[in-house]
Amino acid sequence: MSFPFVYEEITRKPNPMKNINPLARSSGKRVTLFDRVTQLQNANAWQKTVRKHLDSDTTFNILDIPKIAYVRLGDVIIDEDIQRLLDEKHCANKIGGALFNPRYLAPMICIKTSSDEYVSIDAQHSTTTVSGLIDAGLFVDAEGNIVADWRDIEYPCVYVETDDLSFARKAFGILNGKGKLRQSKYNELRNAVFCVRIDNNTDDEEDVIAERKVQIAEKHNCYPVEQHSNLSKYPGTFTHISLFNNASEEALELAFGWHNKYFHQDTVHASLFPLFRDIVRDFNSAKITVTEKLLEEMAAMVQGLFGDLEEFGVAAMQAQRKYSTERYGYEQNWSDDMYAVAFFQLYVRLGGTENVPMPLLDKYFDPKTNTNFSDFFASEIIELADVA
Amino acid sequence: MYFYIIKNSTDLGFGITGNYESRAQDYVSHSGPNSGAHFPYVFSGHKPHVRKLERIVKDQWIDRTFITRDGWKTEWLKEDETLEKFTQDILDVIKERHLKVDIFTEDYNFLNR
Repeated sequence: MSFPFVYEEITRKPNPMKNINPLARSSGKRVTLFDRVTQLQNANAWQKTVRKHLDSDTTFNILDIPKIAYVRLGDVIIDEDIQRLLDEKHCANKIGGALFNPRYLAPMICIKTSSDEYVSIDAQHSTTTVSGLIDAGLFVDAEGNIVADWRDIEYPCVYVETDDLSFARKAFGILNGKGKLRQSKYNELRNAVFCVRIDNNTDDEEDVIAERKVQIAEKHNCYPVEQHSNLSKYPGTFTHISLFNNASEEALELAFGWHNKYFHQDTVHASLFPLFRDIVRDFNSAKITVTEKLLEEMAAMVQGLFGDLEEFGVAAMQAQRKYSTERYGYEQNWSDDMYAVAFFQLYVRLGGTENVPMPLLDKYFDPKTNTNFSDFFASEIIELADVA
Repeated sequence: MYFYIIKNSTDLGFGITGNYESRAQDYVSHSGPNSGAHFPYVFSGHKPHVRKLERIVKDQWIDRTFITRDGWKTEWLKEDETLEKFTQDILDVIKERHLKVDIFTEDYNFLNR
């Protein structure tokens, strides 16, 4: 039985991302706050929000905007019912570690009570770390003298005057997640890449690795972009930054090379990352070479049976649900190691003869019924496969 | 599985369905017998390929589709799109991507069946 699918060439068209890749260079664009306010006022969602406030006769007091003070570190109080317990490792390894730079420190956020106490509701880890570093004799003053006592240092503080601890509790929740627009994974990646590419700063090994991985992607016409970005319609773009970050350089090289060779008109589907992660891991362990023939037959199978990896992913999940329902009587949760298993079990069922590591073929095999995932693909897949 | 192009007296759109007759009935039922709603083209083919075709239109051709101010992406095309151009582009992309999808029927009107 010979392999029934042959990859059919797809004409390569120019990819606009080559010229508009936002990670290639800084946009150099700066706008004023006025520009941002105008942009906001034009948004439908914003207009609805304003209308709601107006309709409910809501007004806000300008005096309630937080104030700024310098507070003696020795006077700061931390309410353990509001803040988390101190994570010493976070202070030691993250904040105060090799990359510590006092210029990265943010002001602490406090409530100021009627008895003039400053109760910290955010940045306890930063203030504890900086105090510890001062205490260790690692800070000098303007004259170059070692700073003697951290308790006497006045630290910038943003505060709100209140005795209402429920306010502090809510504020802590907002500052630490709920209600806060966190930096996206893409933004973190962009900052890392720009540190290396634009600022020529290679102090942080993680930034250097991130930039190197982006280089691998770009070499194969693949481009990380922000989720919901208007660039995500272009071929080669992907938004699964965590999967990209976690992938090895070897897996990225193989995965993006495969995508660019065979599916250059498509965006990159999330399943590409776990699929090639497992290919690299399992083929390396079994000391089996991933041959050009295998890569082409993989592409032929995807193209002929599914159209692209996204449709393969949908079909594989359906097959796994059917398999687990029949074997266990319930739908087992999907895990991303199942992509490679489903992929290669189907490949072998179709008559693929290239060497595939046995663990990929053994996994999720039911000895009682002598079935694996490939037996549970939808009828339209199996029928087309059998006809081919 | 079918991919259809829907046209009424004012708009041009698209969609996929497992049953194009009942989908056509839905359009007529919702917009009325004088809306002119009909399917100038119905394509059929291998289910994953039909779904991929729809995704190409929805994702890669997003700039051609009508999006509400709230950001809701509809399956209707912008005013400047024509049936001829859209159909030709569908045929081209089927050929370019080697999709197992073909024209199934033309000018399907639920009211005239």
